[in-house]
Amino acid sequence: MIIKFVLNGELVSPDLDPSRRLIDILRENFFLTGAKEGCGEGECGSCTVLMDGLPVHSCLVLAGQLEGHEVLTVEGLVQNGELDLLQNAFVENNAVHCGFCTPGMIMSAKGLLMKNQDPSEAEIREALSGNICRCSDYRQIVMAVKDAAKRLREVSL
Amino acid sequence: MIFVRPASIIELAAALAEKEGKTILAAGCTDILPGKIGRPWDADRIIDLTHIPELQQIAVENNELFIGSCCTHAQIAENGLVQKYFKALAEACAQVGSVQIRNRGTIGGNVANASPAADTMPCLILFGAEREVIGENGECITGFCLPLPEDPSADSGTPVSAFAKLGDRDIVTVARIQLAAKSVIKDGRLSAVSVVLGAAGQTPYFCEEAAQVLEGSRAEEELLEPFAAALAEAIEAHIPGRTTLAYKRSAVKGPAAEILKKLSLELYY
Ligand SMILES: Cc1cc2nc3c(=O)[nH]c(=O)nc-3n(C[C@H](O)[C@H](O)[C@H](O)COP(=O)(O)OP(=O)(O)OC[C@H]3O[C@@H](n4cnc5c(N)ncnc54)[C@H](O)[C@@H]3O)c2cc1C
Repeated sequence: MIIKFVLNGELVSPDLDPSRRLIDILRENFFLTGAKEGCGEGECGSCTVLMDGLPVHSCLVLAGQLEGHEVLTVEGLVQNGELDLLQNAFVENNAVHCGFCTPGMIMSAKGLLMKNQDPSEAEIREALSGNICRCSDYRQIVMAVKDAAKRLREVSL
Repeated sequence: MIFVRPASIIELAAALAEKEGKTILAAGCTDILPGKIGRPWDADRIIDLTHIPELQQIAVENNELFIGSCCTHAQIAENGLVQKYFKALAEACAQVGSVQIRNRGTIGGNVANASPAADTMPCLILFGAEREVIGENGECITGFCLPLPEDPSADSGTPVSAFAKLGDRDIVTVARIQLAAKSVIKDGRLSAVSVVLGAAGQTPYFCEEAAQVLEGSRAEEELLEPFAAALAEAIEAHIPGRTTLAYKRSAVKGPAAEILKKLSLELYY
């Protein structure tokens, strides 16, 4: 089935089995391996991508449901070879340990910052509550998001 | 595998009428897909429900609020009409799973999946929602109609409602107990109180004795003990001998306190 959708800003129309999951399409057809399969059950959040600007689990979306939608993966945040402000904030705040959960964390945070450039700590924690990190500390992650929000506000002043 | 993507109710009805072997209706897929890694589908056909605008509508029609079956929890939680008339439902949807789950999971899927812990169910029952269906056997839910409360006036009073959920964690948690209550504030007191208990039996149920405790009151703190006791009795009657009974009898005090607090805030602000 030909499925037309926008992937990281580009209109694509691959011929796909519509009953496959978005995460498999991203990784196996488009070689975008940022989104990770942690649990395959919507619990861990490491496969999070944005669909029409909203964080969703790519393990819980069917390829056939993508028609007409916009998907943004962590790879899509890079512009002209430069990391996004949020990605830089993760690097600088040591918010990355083994890195497995990081793309999902970043995409959940991105979804939050697209709606709210001045989130409280509680709002950040709520936005990231569907993303589990097993090796580091959530504090650096929350700090990175706060930091990114601050820089974002400065840039948009 | 046949994949059908109707773009309107008419196309959906036509797809449902076709007999194409075993069919799965797919909405947000947050119940269908977990655990499906590499496993074959036990179906011949998938009908996608997410491209039908009519199913994504929330609108007032003839003194009722229509909520399309494919409205997501996030959409319902943020909707002004739901917040205004059916606050308990907005609160329940706001507590479903995580952000990602709320952005995909739908009210129709929540009901059709029929989990005893489905968070929207106690509220739909509390508000007397009617389900609209299509298909030869009514197999597809198109939406829910919730009768609007009377417009606030001195005579009818101001309608209020609240939802509380107790789980193993504070957030992203499966309900062990749900409590939903509605009332009308008249002369500074609660009247026409209804209370529904959920996740404490196969299906949610009204708890008349607990509602009676609050009737005519100002949701005072002192009512917590008798309110929780009435709820505990109802739980005992619905799950006698169940291993979780002792826990639920005592734990219901938590959501009971939350409901009292929320109703008292409505009374004073
Ligand atoms: C991590 C996680 C956390 C969760 N947390 C909660 C929670 O806190 N509270 C809660 O209540 N639930 C929770 N759930 C369960 C789930 O997200 C909800 O039940 C959700 O509302 C299901 O909707 P859906 O659109 O994703 O359903 P789907 O998965 O698409 O479908 C579920 C079932 O309903 C059928 N169906 C779907 N739409 C219709 C329709 N319109 N008519 C007829 N049949 C239909 C499908 O065929 C399928 O059998 C959680 C799930 C996960 C994975």
